Amino acid sequence: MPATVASLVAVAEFIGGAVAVAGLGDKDAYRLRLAVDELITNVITHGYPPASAGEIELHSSVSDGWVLFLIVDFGTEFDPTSGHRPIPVVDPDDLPVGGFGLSLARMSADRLIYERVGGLNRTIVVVRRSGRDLVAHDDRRPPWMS
Amino acid sequence: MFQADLITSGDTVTIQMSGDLDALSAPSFHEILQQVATRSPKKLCLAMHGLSYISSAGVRGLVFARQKMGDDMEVVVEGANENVAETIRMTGLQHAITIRESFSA
Repeated sequence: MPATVASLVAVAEFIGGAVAVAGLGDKDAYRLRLAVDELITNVITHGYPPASAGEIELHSSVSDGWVLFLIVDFGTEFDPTSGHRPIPVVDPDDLPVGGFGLSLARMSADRLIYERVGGLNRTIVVVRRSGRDLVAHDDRRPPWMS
Repeated sequence: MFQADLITSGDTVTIQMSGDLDALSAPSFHEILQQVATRSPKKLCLAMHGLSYISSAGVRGLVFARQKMGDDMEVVVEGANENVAETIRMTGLQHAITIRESFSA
């Protein structure tokens, strides 16, 4: 599919089909969509030069209770699993306007694997049926609130 | 499909939101927030009871609203479903805006 935001509609439909086959509940389905959506949006936004005709492939493997998505792109080498980019706990006036996406993807997925093969970025996302929350956030109360 | 309707009542502006707020729809949400900014309301109510999904692109709009419309303006999220509310909380933004679980416009 073209690496454009218009493709996000098809991505959501593709994810919906996999969720139904795997029998994931609402929370797990939402986590899966958030992880895949954020990773693909990142490729669309940063993976290819502006106005270029980049392509993204999305493959799925589904079984009862889990879904695996393989995202393949031909853009700039980028490992979404590398480094820690925690969402900063700061005064709201200092919150960055961007930079949340990959953090949300990492917190949402149960497994996130990256490999660079033959000039391709290959990112694997796994979500299992668990019904877990997206992430525990009680310990992220910012210092200025205390 | 994302939809947002703007309602002004006194010093309060309400944006009734429905559908999916992702990187595809975020520009139109941002455009609406720019309209709100010109009205300088005291309170911005984001009625999300019809919103089924929000990604980081949508959260960016909330950050914009909080930062660009002045400290005197209250930003309230109402009626968000559990997943949408949780996504907003994941970013730590619940410390900068008010999140109410039930709609009460």
